[in-house]
Amino acid sequence: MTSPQSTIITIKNLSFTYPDGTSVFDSLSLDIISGETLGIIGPNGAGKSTLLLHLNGIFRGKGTVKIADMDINTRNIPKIRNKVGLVFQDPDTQLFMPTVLEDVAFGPLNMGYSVEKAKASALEALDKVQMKEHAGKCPHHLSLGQKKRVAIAAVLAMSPEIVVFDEPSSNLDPRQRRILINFINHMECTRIIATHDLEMVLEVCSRVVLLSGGTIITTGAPHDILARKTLLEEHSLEVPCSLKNGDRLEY
Amino acid sequence: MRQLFTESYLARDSLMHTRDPRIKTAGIVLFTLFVIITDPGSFQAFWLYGAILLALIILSKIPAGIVLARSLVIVPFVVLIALSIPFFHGVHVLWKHQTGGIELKITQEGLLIAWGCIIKAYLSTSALIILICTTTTPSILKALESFRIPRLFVMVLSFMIRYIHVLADEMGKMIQGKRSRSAGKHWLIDVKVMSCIAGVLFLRSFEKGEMVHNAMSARGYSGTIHTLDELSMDTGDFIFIGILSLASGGVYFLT
Repeated sequence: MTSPQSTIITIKNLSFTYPDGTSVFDSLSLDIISGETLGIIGPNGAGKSTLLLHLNGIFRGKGTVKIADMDINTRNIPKIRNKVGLVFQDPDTQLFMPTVLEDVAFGPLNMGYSVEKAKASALEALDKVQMKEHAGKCPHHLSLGQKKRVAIAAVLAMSPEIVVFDEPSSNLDPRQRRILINFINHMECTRIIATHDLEMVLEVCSRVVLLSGGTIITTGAPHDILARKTLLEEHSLEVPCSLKNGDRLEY
Repeated sequence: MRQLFTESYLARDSLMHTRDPRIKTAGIVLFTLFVIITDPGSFQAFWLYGAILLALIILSKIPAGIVLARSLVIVPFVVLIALSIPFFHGVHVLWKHQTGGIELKITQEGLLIAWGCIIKAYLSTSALIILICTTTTPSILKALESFRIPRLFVMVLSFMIRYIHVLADEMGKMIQGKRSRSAGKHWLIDVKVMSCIAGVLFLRSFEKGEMVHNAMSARGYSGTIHTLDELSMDTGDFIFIGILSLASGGVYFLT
């Protein structure tokens, strides 16, 4: 485990262009500190999801991406994927095995765990997200909120040092969103969250990065960045209601 | 959320439900094989196969009407076979008609082939319905895997079953969108729009495939699928497969 306050992810001069010629980043640089909860905000098409897919080598652009001092290359990819867990926006993308338990055990089995250990690890992760009783169900029988929790369990079962969430609160009802926020707040690893849900950023993030047009516009404490009306509006965002009214809600 | 009709019967507790999926799958495959290789003229054999099926239905506590009605899924194939009867050759002609240089005739042999196809398809489909009403899809897939069917093929089946609901939902949403904007249009326009929807569905499934692969890679997938193996057999399973094979084989060899 990397020591707290050390840099766990280093991105230097990252450039990436999709095969159709759409350029997303041009010399993007960012350091992520171990143990922090980083919110990545920005308008649609800013490159948030693309950036997340670089963090465990699904996409490989030009430049340097280092995870716990390891370069992303073919040799390091298995170790990096054990360290970085990606929770996708659409849980249907992530849950592809016939049952919830098998899906959550998919990662641990790929890590070389024995069947017993993988099963135990999967059940423990399902218990953490309060989905243990659904272990034998087919994923398509679950509600969206439940699917999202299983998708998180699927990542937690691999005991990652870094968990990356892509739009975790999208399409969730308020109760499921609240469960998710509480859960993220209680996690102990490094968390990276790309989202449009600025209220959630205020509640869970220790730092925020504003990404727009593939460039980092600014970074800082959520209450400082999210209170800057002009800056946010320039990048198709708006000040969250709780900061607008000056009476941030407490939960 | 869509549910298959089988899902309401999967939670029942019966002798069939508790059997090991490998035994059930092997038993049903064996039964189907005997049905397929039986001579279409052995009418008595088909009655006896029907009796075996009835016994399986009773053991599985599934309403017989459901199995018999759901087996009617073969009706389109029956129609197809019926349409081809006039083109079968045979010695015993029952009816014939000459039209535009083509001679159409119904022969006893042709009718027998059609009967054989229909009854075999019906019995096999009914047996399959009993299997899928008493065995969960993951268990059937595990059974196939344990029969050394290539893992890639089993995974393709698994993905198809898993994502058919997602794609059906996508399709449903697009059809709703079309309906909400196409009031009173000619049906020919509908055909054109439906073909566009099919095209979009293909592209979306392609994209979904790529995303699923990304999600698999993110969790360490490197080309080999590892699964949890939880199957176990007991004496009851061996007795079940023994009786089913003896009954099906007995019908085949003794009639």
